[in-house]
Amino acid sequence: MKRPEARVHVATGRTVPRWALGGAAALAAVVAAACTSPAPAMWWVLAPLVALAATGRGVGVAPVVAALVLACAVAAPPGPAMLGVSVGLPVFLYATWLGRTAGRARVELAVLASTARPLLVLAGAGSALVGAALLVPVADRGWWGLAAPLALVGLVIVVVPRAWWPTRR
Amino acid sequence: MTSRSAAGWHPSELVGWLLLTGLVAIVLGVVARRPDVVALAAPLLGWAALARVPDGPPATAAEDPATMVVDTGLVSVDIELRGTPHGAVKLGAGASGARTDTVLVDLGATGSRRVSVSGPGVRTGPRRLFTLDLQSVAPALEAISGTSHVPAPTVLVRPRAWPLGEVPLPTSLHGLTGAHSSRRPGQGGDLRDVHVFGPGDRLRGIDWRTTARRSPDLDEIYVRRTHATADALVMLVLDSRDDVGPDPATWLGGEPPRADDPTSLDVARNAAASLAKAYLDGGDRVGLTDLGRERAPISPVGGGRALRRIVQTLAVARPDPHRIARVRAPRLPAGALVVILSTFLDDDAARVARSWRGAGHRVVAVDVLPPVRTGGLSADQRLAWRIVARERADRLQQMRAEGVELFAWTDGGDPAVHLRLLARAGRRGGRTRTVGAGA
Repeated sequence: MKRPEARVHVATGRTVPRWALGGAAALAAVVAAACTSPAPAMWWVLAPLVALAATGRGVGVAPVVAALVLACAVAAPPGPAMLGVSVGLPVFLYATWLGRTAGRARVELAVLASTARPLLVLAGAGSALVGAALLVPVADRGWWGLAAPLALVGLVIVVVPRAWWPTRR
Repeated sequence: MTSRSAAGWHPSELVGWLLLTGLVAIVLGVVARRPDVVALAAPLLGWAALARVPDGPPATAAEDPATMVVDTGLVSVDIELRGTPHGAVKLGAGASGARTDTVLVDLGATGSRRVSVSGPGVRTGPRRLFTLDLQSVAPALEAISGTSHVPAPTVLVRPRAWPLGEVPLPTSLHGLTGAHSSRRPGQGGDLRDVHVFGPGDRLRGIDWRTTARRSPDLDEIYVRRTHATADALVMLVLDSRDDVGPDPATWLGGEPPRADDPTSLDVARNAAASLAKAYLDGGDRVGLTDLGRERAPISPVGGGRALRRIVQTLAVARPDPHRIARVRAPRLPAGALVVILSTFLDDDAARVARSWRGAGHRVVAVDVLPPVRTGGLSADQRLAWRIVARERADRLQQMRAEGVELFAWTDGGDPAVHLRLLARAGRRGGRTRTVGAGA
């Protein structure tokens, strides 16, 4: 009879199961795609790619997923659903990269709390920006309608509250 | 306190992803004249722009010196991690023969974190318990460090003393007081006889009923005399020359025994500590000598300090590769009970046990060889083990024939039962006799 293998244990705070990270990445990407593309076909394309990226092994496909989501966003008519894309896309990239960094490691819940906070602030600012951009009538204002959100992007990058960014304190 | 640093920082590929995705969003948005798509780039580019490789060094790990001496069982060592505030450390902890546990732990605002690493603790003595692999992660995942391997710290794992109950006594008892009843008359507990009152007898010892019955006119007064108490001298003899596990394939040292497999020396350490505690708790004096070392033995003494000293000596005992073969058996105090703990894989330990028995000591031999697993052995190894086992069985049989009392500590039974049977056999055989003043 094979004996159970002895194992070392590191006592930490509560940890997140690995499937939860993968699930978060998959959910974020599918939500982002679903916000722009009502066609279920896109979900079928995304699902295996997301699953691959979420495991950390096929993390190289994450940019492909991001590009697909962006393609969906361009193809879809402007609307409030873009707010979901603005949050879902960064969250997907975050969860995928965290899954790759962790590998087979258990991830402490506190790591999520500390590393995701600046990202969520940025995603919130991005959503606000997208919301503002949706109000810009580009057809009426021409290229100025594009210049305004571009300037806002730069503003967000510079003005995002630095107190929220952990390395800039 | 030892401290090791992880390898240097390098930016993660995430920053490249963010830049690429953000720029693609801007280009698509401009081409499609969609400001909302352009705005999608804001969080991505913001994340990439704020990402910096931390200035400070990557995480370091330091063991807490307070936990460098631990007790056997589930062994736990505290590790202090220090690194970038709000960062994380990927910590992989492993041990020989055990599965590694890897955790991504948060360092918090202080950049410092104490974690407890625990693992199987059936092994004792100086041991390299855990190896640590460290990889630092920057606060927003924008940079990671290389993986650094931290050698396992040496931790002294002390043997554990298990409760044993009744234990065998030597053929002779020593001293003027103690926990055991001797044959010498004196102030003790058990009735020895009723005798005519004489000089030195205490008035409170007068037996008035016997006096009234035997001497109604009080010509003589009778007193009840008791046996004096005495203590036992016990010498524990550890054979630290062998440290073999249950798998004979590991005996040549090519591969270490599994971390959850106690070796013969682990069994011997635990057995000796248990016996020492049992005798010392009973008020006896216990000494320790090591067949594998040339240093002076611990003389038989009593008390808690003696137990601590014996346990410490047991914990640091290990095979000495430069040992010179003993020519003659170590000298032991007269009348001492000898408990020799050995695998008896060669003739030396059996020879000294027989010589002590021949000198009149009561000798209890404790076989500490763990139950051997022969399942995974090759045909040659199995044949070699059969030869060794046969020679060993002959050796043990010869010891029994010469009066050495023998039992195996790890035969699946309770060692306390074996010891109780030996203790009762000693009483039935009338082994206890008094040696000392007034005997």
